[in-house]
Amino acid sequence: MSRRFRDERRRVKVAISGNPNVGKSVIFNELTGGRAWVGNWPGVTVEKKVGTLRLDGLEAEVVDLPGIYGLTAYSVDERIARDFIVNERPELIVNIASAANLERGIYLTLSLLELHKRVILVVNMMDIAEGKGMNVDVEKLSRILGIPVVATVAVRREGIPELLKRVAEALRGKASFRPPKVSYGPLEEHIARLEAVLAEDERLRSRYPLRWLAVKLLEGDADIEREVSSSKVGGDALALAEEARRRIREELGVEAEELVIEARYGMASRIASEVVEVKERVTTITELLDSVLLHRALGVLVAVSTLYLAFRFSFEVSKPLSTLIDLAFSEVISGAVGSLPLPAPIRSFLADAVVAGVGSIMVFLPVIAFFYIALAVLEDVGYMARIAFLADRVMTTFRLSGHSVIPLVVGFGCNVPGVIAARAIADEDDRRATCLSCPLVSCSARLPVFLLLTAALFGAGGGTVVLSLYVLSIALALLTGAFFRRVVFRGPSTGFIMEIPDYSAPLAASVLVKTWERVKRFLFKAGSVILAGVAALWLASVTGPGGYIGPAALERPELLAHSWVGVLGRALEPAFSPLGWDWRAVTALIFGFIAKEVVVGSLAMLYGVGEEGLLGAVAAHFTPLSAYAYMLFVLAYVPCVATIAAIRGEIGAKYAAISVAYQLALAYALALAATAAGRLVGLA
Amino acid sequence: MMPLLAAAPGSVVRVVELRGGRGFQRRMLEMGIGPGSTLRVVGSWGPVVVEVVNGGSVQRVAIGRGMAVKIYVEEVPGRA
Repeated sequence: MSRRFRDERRRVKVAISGNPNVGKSVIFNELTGGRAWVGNWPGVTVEKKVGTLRLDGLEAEVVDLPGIYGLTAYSVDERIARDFIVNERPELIVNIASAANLERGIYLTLSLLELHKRVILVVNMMDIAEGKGMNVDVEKLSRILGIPVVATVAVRREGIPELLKRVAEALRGKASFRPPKVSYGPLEEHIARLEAVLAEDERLRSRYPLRWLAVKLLEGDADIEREVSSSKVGGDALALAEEARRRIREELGVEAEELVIEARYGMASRIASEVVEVKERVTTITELLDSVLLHRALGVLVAVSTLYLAFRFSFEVSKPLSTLIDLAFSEVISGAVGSLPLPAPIRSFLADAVVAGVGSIMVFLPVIAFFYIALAVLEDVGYMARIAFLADRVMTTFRLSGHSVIPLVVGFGCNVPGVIAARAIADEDDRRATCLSCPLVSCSARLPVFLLLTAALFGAGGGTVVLSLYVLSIALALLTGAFFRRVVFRGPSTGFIMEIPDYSAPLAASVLVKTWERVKRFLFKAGSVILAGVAALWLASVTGPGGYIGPAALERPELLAHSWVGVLGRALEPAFSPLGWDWRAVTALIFGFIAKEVVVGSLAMLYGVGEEGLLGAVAAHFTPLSAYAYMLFVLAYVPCVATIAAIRGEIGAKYAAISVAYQLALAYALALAATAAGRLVGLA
Repeated sequence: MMPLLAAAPGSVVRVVELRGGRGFQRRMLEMGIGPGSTLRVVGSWGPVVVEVVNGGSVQRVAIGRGMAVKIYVEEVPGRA
């Protein structure tokens, strides 16, 4: 048993690390039984996933590090990974590589081994490598690297028992780790000199392997330079490194940094060629599929159809469930709560605020869940990467990149997980612009409003009207991205580079975990904010400038007119009368601020009709033109409170405020323009 | 020598030079793309799709056009 493991004050940590797309999350799920909590890494909005490993009486905390290629200071993800290794000193790193791309995997393994000796290498996706006519000699790899190496096909659980056995051995201190040193050739003399200087500092010596530190100084790693400069040998070490870099540049004509990468890559390359045997070059299914799916015309056609199908699937399949939940809340639960023997205000608060609020969230749960199941399947199959690829060209004309596509598509379900999904975008300017354009994607909560108004006023042509709104929503989202990227976040584009993974069969567990992570954001992040908003609005409806009105205001429009909400609606009415809306339509928009589908229920309440009489009431109070303007407004005006909270969480309060102001102005301008254009061509 | 963007689909090219800042060079090198590495150009509509051929392993990578103009390559004759 190792020293650290016996120390019970501290939980043993196991880190999972690997390149993107090598099956990290599948192995994380295998180690932790799929139970994880998700948080953020300190100071950045990169997701941190932690779970617990229980194995043969051992217990350890498993931390999923971001997908990385090396341990440099150039990317947030890589900095997170190395800070974790340095600060938290995991007992073990489970490093996952793809057998189909072993060289790059080994590059990371060598980078990790320089910093941390106890690494187990998992060579995953053995089946894909075999499909490509390749064979990996795992035992030989283990001998060369001096660490345990396990071959797996994680999606089929092949090799997982062996991995668990190796992990347990390592945690009990029964595994041996004797990694080879990467030889840096002409840099070695400088490394030795730097190490000698660095060794004089107690703190550095206890925190870092000195050789690693020396190499990083020669590379000119900004973070490490800062770290060393604050030590007592800082001045000497930095001067020595600077001098070494200058000499290398003069004598060899290259940057020391290049030599470092070349040496490490050269070694990775040699090792890979020793253990990988290529039997034959075969045309894989991936290549065949991609010749169609990445085709400039066919590919786009398939992508658009696929996304459309994902939509239809989620709306159609979830319909019975949504109806059931709606009935349960509007009839059964609210009826039961409404007849509780409680004082009227409390009863109304429970029935009209709490139950109605929870109900309006729950009704959307099935649509959103099914939509995210469809998306998770597309992601796991490897198709979303193709969509990002196909969209890149269009996105670059809007100053965004293919990386923005997934957050925007996710936004069609609910904008909150969409805004949060933008975290995956490495370019800071792109990420912010995406966060601000996502709320213009028409989320599923806007659809009921569109359906009500089109059913009331457009009859058979309703489908086309709704489609026009969706097309407009996509255009607005892209233009908004372009606008912010051009005017506010003007940094140069860092460009688009993405691995195209091989197609693989989706895995139920991974699809469910991914879906749950997004649905959870909708349920808890959106849910809590919506609930608070509903409560606040309830309060503003039962009280007014004249004092307490009572819950009756929610039943009788003439009383509601005297509440804070009614007063505000009336005060705003003149601003909206050019658009042909009365104070009730305006007041419903105020309610829609909470969550856009609430507009429907609010209209029913304000017109003093039940949901069944709503179609007639809407038809009587709107014209097709004013209804279309109203839908445009609902499409574009302020993001709902939950989305505002998400934007604030991701890119700060200032931009959340900008987002609100921008969308209000945009919505008003759109509605006004549509009204003016309609009148011009003679519509009432 | 030409930018990768100009390479014909189906051709095999060798990387000669990466003309970009340190961050760009680093990202490329860590994707296995550096001076001397061999790429098979699959297609270029929107991003350029290349297969990075290193030893036995082949990985498909999509490279945005902005980046593809900074990667200078020369054609490897007779290998397609």
